[in-house]
Amino acid sequence: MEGEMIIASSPVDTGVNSWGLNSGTKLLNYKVCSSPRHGLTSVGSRFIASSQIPASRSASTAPIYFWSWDKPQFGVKSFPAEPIGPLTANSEGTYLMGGGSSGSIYLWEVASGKLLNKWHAHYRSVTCLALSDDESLLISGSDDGCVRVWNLIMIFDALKAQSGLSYLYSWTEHALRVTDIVVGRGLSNSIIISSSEDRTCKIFSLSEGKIMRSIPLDSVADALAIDPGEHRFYAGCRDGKIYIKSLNAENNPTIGILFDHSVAVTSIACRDGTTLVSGSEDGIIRIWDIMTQHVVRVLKHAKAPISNVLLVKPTRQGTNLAHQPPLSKYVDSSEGDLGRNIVILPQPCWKPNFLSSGLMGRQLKEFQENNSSAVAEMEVERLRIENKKLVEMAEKWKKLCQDQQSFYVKELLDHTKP
Amino acid sequence: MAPFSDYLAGGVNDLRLKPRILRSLTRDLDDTGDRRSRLFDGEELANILEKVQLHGLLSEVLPEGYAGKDEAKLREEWRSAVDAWVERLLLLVSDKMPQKCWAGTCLLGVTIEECTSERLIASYSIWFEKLLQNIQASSNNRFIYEASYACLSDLFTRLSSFPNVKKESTSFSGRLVQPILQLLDDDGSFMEAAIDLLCMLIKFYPSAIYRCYDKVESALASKIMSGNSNMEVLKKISGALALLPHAKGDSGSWSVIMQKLMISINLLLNDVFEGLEEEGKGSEIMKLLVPAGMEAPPLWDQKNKPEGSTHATRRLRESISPLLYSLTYSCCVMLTNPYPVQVTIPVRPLLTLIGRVLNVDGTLVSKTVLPSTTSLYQELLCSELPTFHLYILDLLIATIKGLKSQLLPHAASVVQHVTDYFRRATLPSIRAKVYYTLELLLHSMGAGMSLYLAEHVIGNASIDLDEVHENICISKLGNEASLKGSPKKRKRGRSSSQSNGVEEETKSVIAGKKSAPLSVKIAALRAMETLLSVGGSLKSETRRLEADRLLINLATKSLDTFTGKAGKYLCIGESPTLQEEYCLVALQALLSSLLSPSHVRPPYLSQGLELFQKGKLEIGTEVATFCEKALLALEVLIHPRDIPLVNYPIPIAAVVSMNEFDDEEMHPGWWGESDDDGDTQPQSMDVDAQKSQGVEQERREDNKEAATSSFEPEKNESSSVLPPELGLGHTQAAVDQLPSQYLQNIGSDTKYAVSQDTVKDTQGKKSYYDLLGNNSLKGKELMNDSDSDSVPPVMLGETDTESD
Repeated sequence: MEGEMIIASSPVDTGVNSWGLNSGTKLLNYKVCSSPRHGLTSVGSRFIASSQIPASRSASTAPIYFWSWDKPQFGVKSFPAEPIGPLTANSEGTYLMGGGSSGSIYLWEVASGKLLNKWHAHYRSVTCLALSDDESLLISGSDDGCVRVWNLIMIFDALKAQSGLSYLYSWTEHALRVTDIVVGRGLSNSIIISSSEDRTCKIFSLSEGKIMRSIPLDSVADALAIDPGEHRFYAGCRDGKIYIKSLNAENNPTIGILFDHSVAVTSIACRDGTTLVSGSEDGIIRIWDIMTQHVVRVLKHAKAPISNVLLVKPTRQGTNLAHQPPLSKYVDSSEGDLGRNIVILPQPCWKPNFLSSGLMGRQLKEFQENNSSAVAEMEVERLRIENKKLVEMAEKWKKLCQDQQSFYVKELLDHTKP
Repeated sequence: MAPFSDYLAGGVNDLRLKPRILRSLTRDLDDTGDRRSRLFDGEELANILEKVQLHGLLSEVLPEGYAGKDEAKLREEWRSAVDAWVERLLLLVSDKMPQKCWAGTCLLGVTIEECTSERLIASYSIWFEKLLQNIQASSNNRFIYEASYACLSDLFTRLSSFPNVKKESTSFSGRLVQPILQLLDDDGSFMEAAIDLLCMLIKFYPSAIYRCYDKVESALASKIMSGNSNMEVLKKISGALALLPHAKGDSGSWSVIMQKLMISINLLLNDVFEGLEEEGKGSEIMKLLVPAGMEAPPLWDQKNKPEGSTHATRRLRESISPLLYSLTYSCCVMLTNPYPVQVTIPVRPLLTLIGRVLNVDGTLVSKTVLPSTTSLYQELLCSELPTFHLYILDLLIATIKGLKSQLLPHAASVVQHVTDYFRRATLPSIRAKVYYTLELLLHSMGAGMSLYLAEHVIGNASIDLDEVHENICISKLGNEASLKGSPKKRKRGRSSSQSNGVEEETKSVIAGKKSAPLSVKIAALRAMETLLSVGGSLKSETRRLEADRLLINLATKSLDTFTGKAGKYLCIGESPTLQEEYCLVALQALLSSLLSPSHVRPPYLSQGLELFQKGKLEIGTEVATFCEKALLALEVLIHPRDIPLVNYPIPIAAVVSMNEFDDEEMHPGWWGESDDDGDTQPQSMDVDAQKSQGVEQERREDNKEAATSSFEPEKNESSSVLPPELGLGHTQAAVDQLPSQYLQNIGSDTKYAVSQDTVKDTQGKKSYYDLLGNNSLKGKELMNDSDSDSVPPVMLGETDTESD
């Protein structure tokens, strides 16, 4: 399997295409997928998950598919209670979160497929979801322009849930639909950047819980990416340009424009501050070298708009989805089952641990200190054996002596005899 | 006189030395003649061991590419020397004299670890038989048993890495299980080595154990349930039991062992807590552990099930406490050790069980006093209860570690349990452990958890760390007359650290005697540090100020104590290492408090810098090392710089070569040559092929020019150092929106000057702070406010580099 991969999907059924980032070679087409914006995600780098656009407006639900890295056919098909838009998973791949069209957020445990929680988060449909860097907070954006921050622990806190006020922050600065949310690095002080159809990007501070700045744009940004060093961020807009905005300058923060698309940029992803991947409405993916602001490679996804472009790093041995249960529809409140978590413990990797030399050192010390019963025992045994030996030796000498004596006596007697 | 060739040409590095030393050591092992007694004083043996390991005498490895003309001879010489050595050892191993047998076995173990693979493969079966005989001999000494087991363990550990002998070594290993089980049953006193061997077999030869899985399980369990071994041995046995499921390696056997352990703990508690907790708790947990419709697994029977005659109180100390220890320890190992498949952890029962123990505080709950619950029993239980709590806290810690992010649905209830318990916990060792638990929770759940715990951590830590409070406590406890009014004085002393009268000195020493033990303070500081790191000032501004003040005071004091300049804070009877650790932790916490984002500028920054500067002078201590790191970390706080992404002029040259490489070698035809047959690369399309063909030519020329000029910075022609992309193949808009950093670089100079980094318009600087949340901080304040002399503020240069 390639090191790092680009995966891309469309809102019409084109499947999910994947390419090696470095080689640019096409790898696999994961079949049957028409995913909404933000509906494609890699679950803990173990497999791909994608929500689907409902077949018709009136459809009451739409499936969520899982693909393992090595098979083009989907492995698991789940039907949530309503069509899910954005999907996101934590880096361990233990939880999958989805935003529903009714404004509810769903939280599933991946290993068991259980819907652990579902809460009413927004009045209009959820448009994007992102996890904070330490994965304890969930940030959601909605159709009505509202951005909310949820403490995941509080979501499960029965006591706090009763009081009703379960979100940490609610920001209503955007006037129109929120199109994308990205979160910067940091433990509790990260920044959150959101873009909206009101032609602005807004930067929020997580620790202060309020807006820091609003950045006007020439066009609606549908996609955001943040430079890993957080010097700048990138906004892919409907006018086909990707604006590079400085995070540190207040006035005229634009420090560059990547312009090669003739149609709207729909999705971008950034890697290590040097490579940017963008997907546009004409189904073409461009890979940029940010330093030189040049396109270094062009990949063709399909003759359809791109809804998502992601950079992913599949784990070596992927996950076999054969035993993966589908995501359940409703919260299972039965007691006996809820208290059990399926946990993936780390794979054992036994290191050889040699004991002899350490033991010998310890025993030698004990031996030299000469105060344990074992040493005394050994000494006794040794003395016993030596004693036995000496006794044997004495016997031998004695016998020899006797022999000699009898010999001499015999000799003498023989001599005296005439 | 020896011929010249006998001398070592390479001195100590001459490889011919090794076989020679080995031969001489082999001779030393020979006990004929006048050397006979030297083997038995241990010193000779220690010398041999040291020489063998120091010189690597048994490795028989010539360095890579060794090309001495005598290579073959040297190899042969070394081989025969090791042959003789091994032969000698084998003689010793089967010697009747215990010392000799022991020495031989130990050295054979070392040989097994270090000898070549070929030698091991060739002779392992002989070695195995010899060692097996030693084990089976009934009259042997402890030393010999231990050495033999260790030796066998090493033998099989090494063999496990050779797949070609896997089959045979597995069958050999099977022959060991019986003697080990025998030993477990026999109640031998030297079980540890055998358990080590058993653990090794479970890890590397699971199939050998698989066949007698049940026997091993019951042997280990009965040993634990009998509960009358010493703690060290119990720990080993419990570890082995926890490891046992690996022999099967499926999710089911893991769950069964876990379930049995938890049921055993629960039953044990039913017995012990009778009358001291509400009834029905045990059965409630049982219901969770064994869901309706499922059958409970057959339990391990407690061998020495207490008869009526055994006094309840003796039982408590002598058998129940060790039993609880080993059962919880087994659970801990199972929760945190790796396992090949995913397992189902019964989190809810586990947490309920933990809550059950933590809730018992020794007070009588049931109205009707049961006959078994005498006041004496209550007294004894209360004396053992803290130990139980410590064991159970370990279990909680293991749960947090094992579950990681999966604890999320239960996190709120864990917090509830722990914080409730914290309110009641008074004993130092328990408080320290609770702090550690909180620290782990913060680590595993991050900022979200800090919202829950901030208040508890800061509140409790300020009690444990605050010496004013301690004084109050002391004066309350007694001795009131002598300490009257001291809190006030102490307070004054804290604010101005110069006032150190004799009177106060004596008082603080008295206070020092009774203050919370350093271990608790260290734990409290660690928890504070973690809180500040992961949580910062998320929603707790007021608490935050309190914490910052506390930490700067503590760090100042502890460093003073550490440097020995202010002896008045010296706590009598505390070992200096603990003192140093305390100082280190205090400084670490201070660094977190300075670095952790707050809504205002760190109020104690200058004091902190001074402190680290001072600590740095204690060269050769951990504290100094850390202070240096802290100063490095604070650099970014005192010199906030907006550094351009790339500010070296060199990359221009690099770009040229990279482009050439990229274009022609890696992707032939990339820039348009494959114009007419674009289908050869179906996944990639040509980028504006026509345009770029011409442009590319132009660009390369430009690049070359740029490259040459970049090596002569004195020329300073701004046009020549323009990045190649400017004005090439891009719209005018792109040029207009040039990165301002580029313009700076172009406008001023392209030398490798660091000073450029700091040249930035003031507007940008200000907004940088705004972004970080330091609204009040303007550029000017930054300059004036850093009052520490050692760190001059950044000069904000006026910029004239705007493009015109």
